[in-house]
Amino acid sequence: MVEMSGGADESEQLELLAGTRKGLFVLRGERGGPLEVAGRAFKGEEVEYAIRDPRRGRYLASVTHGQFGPHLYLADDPLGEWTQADGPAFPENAGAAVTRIWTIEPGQREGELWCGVAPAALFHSTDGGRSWELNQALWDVPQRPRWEGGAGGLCLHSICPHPDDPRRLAVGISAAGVWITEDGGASWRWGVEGLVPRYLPNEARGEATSFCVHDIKRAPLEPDTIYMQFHGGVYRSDDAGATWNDIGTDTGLPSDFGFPLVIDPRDPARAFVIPLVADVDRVTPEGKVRVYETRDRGASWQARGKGLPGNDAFLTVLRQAFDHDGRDPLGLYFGAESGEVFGSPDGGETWSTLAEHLPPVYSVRCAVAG
Amino acid sequence: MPRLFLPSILCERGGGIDAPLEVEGGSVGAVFDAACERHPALRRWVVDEAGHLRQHVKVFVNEREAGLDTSVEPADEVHVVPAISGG
Repeated sequence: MVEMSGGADESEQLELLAGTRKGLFVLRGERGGPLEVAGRAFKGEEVEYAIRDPRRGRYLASVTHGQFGPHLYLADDPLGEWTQADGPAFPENAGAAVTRIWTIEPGQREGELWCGVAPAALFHSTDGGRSWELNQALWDVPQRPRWEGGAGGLCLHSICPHPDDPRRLAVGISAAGVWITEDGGASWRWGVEGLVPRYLPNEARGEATSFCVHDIKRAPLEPDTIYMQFHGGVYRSDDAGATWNDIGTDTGLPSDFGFPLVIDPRDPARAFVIPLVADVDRVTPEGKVRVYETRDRGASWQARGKGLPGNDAFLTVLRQAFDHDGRDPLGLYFGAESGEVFGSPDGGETWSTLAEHLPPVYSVRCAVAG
Repeated sequence: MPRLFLPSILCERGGGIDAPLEVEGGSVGAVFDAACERHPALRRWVVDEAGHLRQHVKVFVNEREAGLDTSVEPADEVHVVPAISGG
């Protein structure tokens, strides 16, 4: 999440936060040019995710130590001193322990943040991320005993606050579908109508509880519009996540399997996905790295690959490794498990390699420098 | 009084612990609780919030593998040892 800025007269400095298997890389430079590794935090540790909260300029990072578990940290300078947060951690009566902190999302109220973890649960902070409290209502939904995890475990990885109403939220869970609250998390309802879990036999789909959402993003200018990358399927909801329309079949995508997606914050009809071959072969199709763009709400998709590896390039781009910078034209950035970070300063028209030879990239998030 | 030995990384993450610590306690869990009263940041690095030793952490009392409920005598040494693993 970044501020939306006005355009070319604004600062052209860019800062990317790349969470990797071996630390947090802070990449800085001129927007549109090569970036340099300004520094690395949490050396040797797995940094699952890191963001800069644009409201206070505070950085938050999810770090999993191989022997000592997941921890969340805060800093005013990503290359300075990080302070450990109090949580997220389950209360004693939950009988569970956090195994991974997947995502952190600023909320709408001052100091409010949301956090998604494995096992699938939502935590809430009202003090800028220093302390966290479990959302008990989602933890207690009666369907939970039937929830199953995907390959990444049972995790809550996507959080979509509503820009106009802090009581409304949609979250994505692998593999338990979309859950929606309209009362600030006091109650939750399931939003999976229209999703087709093709990974299940036909006869099992009617009673399915296993809906493997890979990513969801809400259009800020049209908050009832949410796009989804599913485990085999790309969907759009026009009713804030209650029902879903297939926009991945016969619409120009080489595959409807993938992980991350991005929405243009200025245009609810415009979104981007990065297809992979299939769940059994999670690499870029045909040895070509391409981002696909729709400008018509998913009715059609066009490849955007100029400047990206186009020959013998079999990359994997993970769920949280794709972001935009909120600028106009829109800057797009993604990282790969093979250690590259790519960027486009012009909404996907042209791309360049911004960094390479990094450890496997788990997440990429924009933070405007200076 | 039992002595609690910690690896250097836990001394650092615990907020600058000068190990070994001499702490009261009749069990490994009690020794660890006493250490965490002095150094609260230490707790989550060794046990999770459900109260279990982290999966890749072992505890030994006088070179014998132990659990949080293992009895500890005043002259005992308690060692926290992380697994050697990674990639």
